[in-house]
Amino acid sequence: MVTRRGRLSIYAISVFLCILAVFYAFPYLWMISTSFKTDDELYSGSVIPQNPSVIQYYRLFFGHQVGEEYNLQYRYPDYYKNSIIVTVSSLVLVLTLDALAAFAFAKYNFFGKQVLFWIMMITMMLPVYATLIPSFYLFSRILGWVNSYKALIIPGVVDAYGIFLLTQYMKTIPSELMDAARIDGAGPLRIFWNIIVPLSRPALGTLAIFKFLLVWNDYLWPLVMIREETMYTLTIGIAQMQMRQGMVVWGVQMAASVLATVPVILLVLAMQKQFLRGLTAGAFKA
Amino acid sequence: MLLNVEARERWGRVWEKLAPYVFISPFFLGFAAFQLFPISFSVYLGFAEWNPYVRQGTGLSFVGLQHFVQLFADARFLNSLKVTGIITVVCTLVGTALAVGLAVLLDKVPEKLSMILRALFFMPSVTSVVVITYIWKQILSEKYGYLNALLENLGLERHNWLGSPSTALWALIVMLIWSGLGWDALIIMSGLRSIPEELYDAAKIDGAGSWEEFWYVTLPLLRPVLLFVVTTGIIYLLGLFAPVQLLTGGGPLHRTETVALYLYHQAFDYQEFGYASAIAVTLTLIMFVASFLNYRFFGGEVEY
Amino acid sequence: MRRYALLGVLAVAAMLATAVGATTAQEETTITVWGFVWTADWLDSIKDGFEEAHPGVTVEVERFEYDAYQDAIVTALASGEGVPDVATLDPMWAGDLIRSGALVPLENIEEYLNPDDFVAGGWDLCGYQGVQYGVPADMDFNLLFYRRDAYEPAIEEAGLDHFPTNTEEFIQVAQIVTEQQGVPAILLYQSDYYTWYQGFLVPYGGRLFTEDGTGYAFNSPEAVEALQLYSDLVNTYGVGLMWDWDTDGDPMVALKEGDVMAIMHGSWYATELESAAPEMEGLWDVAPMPFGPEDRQYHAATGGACFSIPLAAENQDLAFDFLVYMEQPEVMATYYDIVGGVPSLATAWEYTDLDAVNEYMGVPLGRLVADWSEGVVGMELPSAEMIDALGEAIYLVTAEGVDPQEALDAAVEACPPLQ
Repeated sequence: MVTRRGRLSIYAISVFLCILAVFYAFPYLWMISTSFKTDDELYSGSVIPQNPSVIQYYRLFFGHQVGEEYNLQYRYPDYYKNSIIVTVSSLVLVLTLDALAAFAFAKYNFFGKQVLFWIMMITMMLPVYATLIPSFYLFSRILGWVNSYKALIIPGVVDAYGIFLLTQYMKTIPSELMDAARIDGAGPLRIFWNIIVPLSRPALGTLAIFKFLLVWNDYLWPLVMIREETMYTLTIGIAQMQMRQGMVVWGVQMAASVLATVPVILLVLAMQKQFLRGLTAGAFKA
Repeated sequence: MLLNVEARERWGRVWEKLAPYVFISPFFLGFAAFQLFPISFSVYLGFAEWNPYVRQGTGLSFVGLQHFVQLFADARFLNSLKVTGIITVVCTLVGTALAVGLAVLLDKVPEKLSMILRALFFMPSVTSVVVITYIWKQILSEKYGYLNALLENLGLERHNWLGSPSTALWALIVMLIWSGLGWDALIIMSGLRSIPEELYDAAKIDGAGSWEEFWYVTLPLLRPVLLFVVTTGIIYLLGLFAPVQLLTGGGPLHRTETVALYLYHQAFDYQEFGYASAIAVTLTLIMFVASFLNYRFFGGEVEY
Repeated sequence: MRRYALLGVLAVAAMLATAVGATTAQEETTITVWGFVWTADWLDSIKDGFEEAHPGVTVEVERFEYDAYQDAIVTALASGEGVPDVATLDPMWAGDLIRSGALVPLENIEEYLNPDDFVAGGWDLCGYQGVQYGVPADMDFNLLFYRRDAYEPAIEEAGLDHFPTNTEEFIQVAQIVTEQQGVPAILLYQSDYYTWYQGFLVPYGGRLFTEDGTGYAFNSPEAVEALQLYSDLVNTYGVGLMWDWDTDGDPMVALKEGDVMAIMHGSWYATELESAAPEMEGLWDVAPMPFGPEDRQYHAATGGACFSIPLAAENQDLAFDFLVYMEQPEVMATYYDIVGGVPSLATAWEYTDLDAVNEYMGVPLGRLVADWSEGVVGMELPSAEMIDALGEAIYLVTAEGVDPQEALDAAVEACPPLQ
């Protein structure tokens, strides 16, 4: 039973949180509002644009006309394309390999399993900086993968967190289902594809969102590996806009940010349930 | 025909045995190539010089402990340790406290509203750090930023938030706390929800007020979740790079230069790959020690 | 004009083919040449002439954005992957490549090119410790872009008949400008080594390195004086606006908003102004840097693009021929037509129309740069560590009020020893 006083305090808390939320969301408001400002207003410090305009968005795709002759192309569509290619390929590759490895750890007994599992867990602890410089040497000097999609996609296969998450989930799938299939003559791959994958879909969904965010928003690794503008991903591309010489780009930069961010936020909102489940799993089983 | 079936069955049995190894091999191949080799090489590089431009041979030469000796006399490195330490401690303490507060409040309001608010507070966690940093940079800009325009309207003085040594680090810390708050609060909230209702009822019967309830029931039971939040937070903060590089570039006067950023400068601006590797090895050790201590003091006998 | 130039290019190419002996290679060879935006445009336009003179040779020009270029070249040279045969370099960061031994020393270049044909500062620019590592394209030295409407009345009021040419005159005028306009007279980049070096250290006769190139010299009395002035402009005379690229962004905003009346940049900035602030046409004029004592020898140091051959390049002989080819007067003259930068190769000037008036500025910018180039010295090639250390010293003095001698001594201390 909620007392009258209790209801009042819930009301007060709600109001307080809503006010807090408005302040909290202010940077987003700023981003969106700046992206709709005209050049004249960019530096006025106003929050709401007086004459909202889509000119900044237009420039991203059709070039920035300055003066009479000069048209600066941003290659933004390229950045977007690169980000999509890298993210989608990473997701497909990593989810497949993670699921296979997790299947082995969850449902097979094999020699060395415990040791291998622990080795894997330790790799989760390694910070990226520990391997950054040799990785640069490896990818540039030995493999020659600088400026390639491969360089951004392949290293993703070392995903201990994903394997761990899926292993924990697959352990809850009853082994009897597998045994029955085995009697029907199904091999490991068929069992994996027909039984394990369909039943693991929720966990795969969670992992997919996590991976998506990680790859889509990655900054350091593409910064090191990608040196050619046509190969930039969104994060690197937007970061480079700042450094363009002789251009005033606050508006374009925010337009680029809105387009890079809003789809992600919508996606996560749409899949909020799966996302939350993944968070909790991470919290308690780590 | 019969032989064929037998052979197939035998193959089936072998495959059954072999399959798990095949399934885990991509991970371990990747592990060997992209982690084991780099980390061993990183340790080696810490004791060597590498001139990447040399065309004859590898350009590597062994220099022993020189880099590590140099490190602890390098004022800029020691400064970066201090900066990283301040960021880590302040963000962890203040950030976690705020996140607990936010989670407790979010847990009290009606579910519908709570869900909307959660989504809102969660936005920075799914936004690229590049985007976040540039928004803040515009707001904090000395000459044309919103904050200074606002201050001026209120009759207060403008301030160079990012450009002066006294405030740059604090501006960075505020941004970091802001961007991590939603994520932490959400995890803590899921911890709150897993605390059995009966414990609160029992506390009420014992006459506990809401403050005692929070202190004696909620907080102790949140320990595993807090441990998770703090540990992952510390590891992230000790290796902090992108937000700093983008917001201040480490300046002014290296007042915001973290260890990871210094490492990056040494490697990719000065081409001092050996020295940078020595920093990387040291940073990795610090991270391990920090995580270990954290488990020792925070972990206790918590069950997972 | 353009067609005329092209004819010249072809004629020279034909001559060179016999003179240098070119290559006897019959088989197909491709040489790759890397350039950033503007140099790439030019390279694209001259490659036909080279191919004509070298049957079987194809020149492939790769074009980069300026900001991505340094990373691209450093990565390529470090990894040995896709190394160009000829690379455009910016002296701002070429020093580290030279000191690491990443470039081919052009030991016998003087058998093919005469240094006396070049503006002295321009030729020296691509050399280090007496060895030439590249050949120069244009000259890029700081000029003062100032608002006519603000400075002309102030000069008159100060009783001068010319734009200030030394510190004393400038401060007098700048104070009047600041007072009349209510905004700072000049924009200074915060912790910017380059501005300080070019516009202040050089006029005061200071150097970055000692004469023999084995030690640092930027804590000399001249350097202290130059740094003190840099700080005084803002802190004592109140005529300067400190601007930080990292946190303030592009200063074009301040120019457009009328928040400052002058800025220091190379002559290329005229194009930047034209494209970003077309509404300000006719408002800007330009002068050599106004700092230093009355009897100064140089008013600035010049940078500019250089062309070099990486040690890891495949076709080094052909690359060498290409460098010699591009430094023929008729060929180099087209650099001015296409890019707008005045070539260091002075013998090229007569093949182009340097006197053409820049419409936006209303002055013959090319001719002015050529005239003023006598007063510039070749830039000394800095290292990344040095740029950072000096930036820190400049910050300490200008923003924190630290003594310049102390700050510069510390900066020298912080730089790695030279061999």
